[in-house]
Parts: sequence; C-alpha cells; structure tokens
Amino acid sequence: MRRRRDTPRTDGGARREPAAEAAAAEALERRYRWLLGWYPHVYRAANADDMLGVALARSASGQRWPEPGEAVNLIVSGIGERLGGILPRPDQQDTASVLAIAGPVLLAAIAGRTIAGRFMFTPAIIAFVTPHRIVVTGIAFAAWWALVALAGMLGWRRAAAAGACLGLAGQVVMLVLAVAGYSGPLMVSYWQAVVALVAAVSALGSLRGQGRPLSWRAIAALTAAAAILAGWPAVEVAFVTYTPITANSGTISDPLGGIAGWLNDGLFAATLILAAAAIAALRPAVRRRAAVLLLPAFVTTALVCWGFRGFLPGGLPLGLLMLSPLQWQDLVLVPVIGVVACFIGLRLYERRLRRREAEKAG
Amino acid sequence: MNEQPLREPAFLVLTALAGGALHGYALVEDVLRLSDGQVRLHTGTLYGVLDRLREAGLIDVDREEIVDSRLRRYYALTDAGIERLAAETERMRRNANAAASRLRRLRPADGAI
Repeated sequence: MRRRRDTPRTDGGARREPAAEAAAAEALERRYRWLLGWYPHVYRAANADDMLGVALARSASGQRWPEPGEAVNLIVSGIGERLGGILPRPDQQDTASVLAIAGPVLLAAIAGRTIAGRFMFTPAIIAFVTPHRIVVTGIAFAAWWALVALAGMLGWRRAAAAGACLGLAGQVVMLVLAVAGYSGPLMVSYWQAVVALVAAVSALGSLRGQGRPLSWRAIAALTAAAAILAGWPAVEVAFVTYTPITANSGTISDPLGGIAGWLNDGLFAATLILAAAAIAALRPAVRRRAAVLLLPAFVTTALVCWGFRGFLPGGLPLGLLMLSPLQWQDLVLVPVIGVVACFIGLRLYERRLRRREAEKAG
Repeated sequence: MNEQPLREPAFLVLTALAGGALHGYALVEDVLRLSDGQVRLHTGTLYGVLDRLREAGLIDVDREEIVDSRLRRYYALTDAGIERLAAETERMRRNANAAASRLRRLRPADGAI
C-alpha cells in the first residue's frame, strides 16, 4: 500500500526529491491541471491553485497519474460547475432536477414497453417480432434508467448525473446499432438518445441543487404515468381483437379492432392527466419553467409521430436507407426546431421574470 | 436559509471548521478523522461543498497564504454557520435519542446506548 503524504505537497521543497520523484510530481501536476481545465475559466482563476494543492496533497509519493475516482470526480464537478453557471438560480437548477428525473422515468417506461410488447404477440411469432437480445437490452435499460430516476428522486444528484451520462452512452450505442440496422426501430432509438441527452445535461446542470426536487405526490403521479406507458401493450392484449393470418403462423394483434381504439385513447388521456398532475405538484416557479419547456416537447413529439405514421404506414423504419427525404426532415428538423423553441420560450420567460422582479424592487 | 437537513459532507466540513480555520487539505484530513475514516472527500466534492456553504453564508474565507508560489485559502465558520451547526447537531441529537429510546425498549438487556 502506498503511503500518503502527511502534509500538502506545498512545503517549499525543503528536502530534495530524487529526480524520478520530481518528474512524477511534475507529470501528476500537469495531469491535474488538465483535469481542472474542465472547470470554467473564472472558477479556475479563483480556485485552481487551492484545488491543485489539495489534489496533490491527496496523492501518494511517486504517483504519476491521478486516481480514477479523483479524476472522474473533478471532471463531473467541472462540468457541473460549467452548467451551474448556465443555471445560476435555484429555481432553474430545480427545473433541471425535474427534467433529470422525468427523462429517466420516460426512458425506463419506453424500455419497459419493449418487454411488455412481447405480450402483444402469440408465442408462434414472438421470436420474430421481439428477438431475445432486444428483450434483454430492454430489461437492462429499464432497470438502469429506473435506478437513475430513483437516485434523482432521492436527491442523490451526483449518482443520478453519473448514471445519466453512462445511460446516454448506452443509448448512443443503441442508436448506432439502429442506424446500422442491427437494433430496434431507428426513430425510437433516436428519441431515446435525445431524451437521454436532455436527462444527462439536466442532471449535470442540477448538481448544485439542494434537497429532494419532487414531492411524493409528484413522484407518485409520474411513476403511475410511466407504469401506464410501459404496461400499455400488456393491457392492450387483454382487450384487442385477434385476426388469424394463416393456419400455421398463429395470430397477430389488430390494434384497430374491437375496443382498442378507445382503450388507446383512454390510456393516452390517463398518461397525460397523470403527467399534468405531476407538473401541478411542482413549486410554482419550477412548474412554470417545466411547462414552458415541455409544451414544445409535446408538440414536437406529436409532429414526429404523426409525420412518420403518415409517411410510412407499414411500420417504423429499421435503417437509414429506408428513410425518405421527408422523413429525414421530420427526424432532424422538427426536433431541432422543438429544442430551439424550448430555449427561446425559456429565455423569454426568464427575461419577463427579471423585468417583473426589477419592477417590484423599483 | 436552506431548511433542508445538511448532507453528511457539509455537516462534517462545518464540524471540522468548528475547531478553527482550516485550509482545503487539512479539511479533507479532519473530515476523514471525524468520520472514523468513512468519508474521504474528493477534491471536486470538497470545493462543491465549500461553494454551497459559502453561498449560504455558513462559512467564509478567513485568510489566504502563498505557500510554494501557490495560493492556500483558509476557511472559517460564520456566525450563521455556528448557529446552523448547532441547530443541525440538536436535530441529530433528538433523532439519535429517539432511536436509542426505541432500541432500549427492544433490547433492554443491552443497557444504555
């Protein structure tokens, strides 16, 4: 076991270190300086020297590389500080905390649908519709995002941020596989990656927040909405009319038959009502910001869903080659417009808020 | 002032500073000692905690020294920090007393806890 220094490595060089140790110390300091580069310039100018002293003092004699835990901690803290500068107000950080929970909840629900989707089909064609690896991936992602959401709900912001970043990496891998045609529908993978990105950025932006961001009422409503979203296919199967295809190929669900139409509408309405209840349970300042952000997101999602359904009635595209130019626009332009609309809306809202506060103070 | 209970690192940093002004590395070591080796603060975590405590007005910079051409900053408790630490200690004492009382009823043979 390496011995740690008893005092900071800032003792003025009272004793001469061997050349190798001096070189190691120099290399270690250079690497720590690089890690501190993740912090904003202003923060670095004020704190880098002090922080470097602490980081070096924590290190063992002759150590050349920062400990992995210390390195990750500095990178995550640095990114958090950068994003914290973007979101300086506690209300903004709380809004980011809410998004950092809502995103993983939604992703867990979508991944859960993959598992529930197996119940939509009879065993004869189940292997074709949902291969085993997709179900395993679905279980893994559902569990992972549920844990990230739980960490966020409990106010464990660092764990939630680290989990969201790792989850984002996983969703990007799934997107790449979908582009190559090896994984599930491209559009679903694409949106999962977008939601994961929003969740990761929000989680990093909310690192400086305090306390639990959601009340138990909001958590209950959000969890219920996610459960409906995830279990929808499994519920549907109990009511849907089945239409035989051939004598040997089993049956396939007919989503338009029987009472499935109103069941879909009912479940959709219940999900929306519960999501609205979750938003209503937020603090007023956070609620207004969440509403400003979520409205364009809802409109964008609806536009993309309707657009794809209209352009490709036979099903979702499985690879890039199957996308028409119009679908490309739908896939890229609509989300970009949606995100820009979110930010413009939020900036206008914040400006209006500042003006009101100035008027009150004046 | 934030009414949320203090997290463990923040509580331990305030407790360490109750013994007098300390610089960053001394805080890491003191927190490690206070927590019986359970809490070893990473540098990023320590400065995150210090920033939040400073923003809340619970601590402030006591003095700065230049050691080996490098800035070393000492932090100290403010009056608000002393009050907050006292309130938090009292809250924890009440919780601990309540838990000890229940445990005594469950395990009377163990005696006082």
